[in-house]
Amino acid sequence: MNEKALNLLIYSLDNQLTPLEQEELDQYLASSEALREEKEALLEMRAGLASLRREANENFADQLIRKIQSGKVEKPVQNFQLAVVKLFPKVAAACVIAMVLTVLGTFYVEGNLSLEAFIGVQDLSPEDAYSLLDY
Amino acid sequence: MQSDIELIALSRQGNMLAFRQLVQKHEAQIRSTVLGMLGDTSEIEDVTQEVFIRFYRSLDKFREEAALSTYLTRIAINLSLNEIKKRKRKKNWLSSIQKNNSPRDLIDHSTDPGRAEMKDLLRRALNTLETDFRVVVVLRLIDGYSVKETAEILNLPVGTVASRLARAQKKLKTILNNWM
Repeated sequence: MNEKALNLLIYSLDNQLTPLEQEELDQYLASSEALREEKEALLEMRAGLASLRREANENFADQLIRKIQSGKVEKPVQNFQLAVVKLFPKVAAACVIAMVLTVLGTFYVEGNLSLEAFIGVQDLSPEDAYSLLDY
Repeated sequence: MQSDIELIALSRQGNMLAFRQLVQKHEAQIRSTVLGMLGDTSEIEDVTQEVFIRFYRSLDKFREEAALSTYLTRIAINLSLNEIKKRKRKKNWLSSIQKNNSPRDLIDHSTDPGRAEMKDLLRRALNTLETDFRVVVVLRLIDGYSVKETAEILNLPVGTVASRLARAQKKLKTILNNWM
C-alpha cells in the first residue's frame, strides 16, 4: 500500500490534514479499494479503543472519603510535621547506637576511655606532634 | 448541577460532599486513563485513589487556569509512568535472579492472547506499545481528548502528538494483524 496515502489516512482521522492534503487523500481513496478497507479497519480499531473507557465504580468515592476522614491522608504541611515527629525516635535510637559503638570500639582498641583515647592522640609524644607539624 | 469551580471552592471550606461530587464526576475518566496506561492490574485502584488524594492535598494550591479533568489526567499519567518504572525495576531484578538460579529461559505467554476477546486483545496490544506511544493513544483514543488537548496535557507540540498517534496506530494495527 502507498505509504503516503496511508499516512494521510491516519492523520485525517484526527483532523490533521490541510484542505489540499484532504483532497489528495480523497483521490487515493476513490482509486484504492485496499485503502478504503484500511480506513474501515482503522475506524474499527479506534472504536474498539474508545470502548475501553471504564464506567465509574460506585463505591470508589465513599472509600476515598472514608480514607481521608480516617486521618490517613494529611495535608502536606501536617504530613511533613508528622513525618519529623515520627522520625525522631528512630534518629535518636541510631545516635545512641552509634555512640555506644564508638565507646566500645575505643575501649577495645585503646584499653581506656580517656579524652586522648577518643581523639586518637594517646600514644603520641610531643616530639611526634612536632615532627608531624614539620611535614 | 454545580460546576467544578464551585465544587472546588466548597471543598476548600471542608465540604466533603462537594469533594465527593468532584470525585464521582471524574473518577471514570481517571480510571480509564490509569487502566489504559497500566493494563488490567491490581494497582489500578491504588493509583486512581492516589490521584484524588494528591488532588485533595493540593486543593488550596489548585489554580483554576487549567480544567480540573486536565489537571487530574496529568497526575494520573505521572503516577502511571512512575508505576511503570517501578514495574520495570522489579522485572529487571526478578529476571536477574531467575537468570542466576535457572538455566532455562522463561517463556513469556503475555504476547500470545489466543482466543481472547477484542477488548482484551486491544488492551494487550496497547500494553506492548512503548509508553510514549501508549500515552497518546490513551489520551486521544480512549479518554477522547483532542490532539491539541493531548499536547497540552503532555506538554508536547501538537505535531509531535499527531506523529506519535499515527505511528502508534500503525504499530497497534500490525500487532493486532499478527495476533488475529
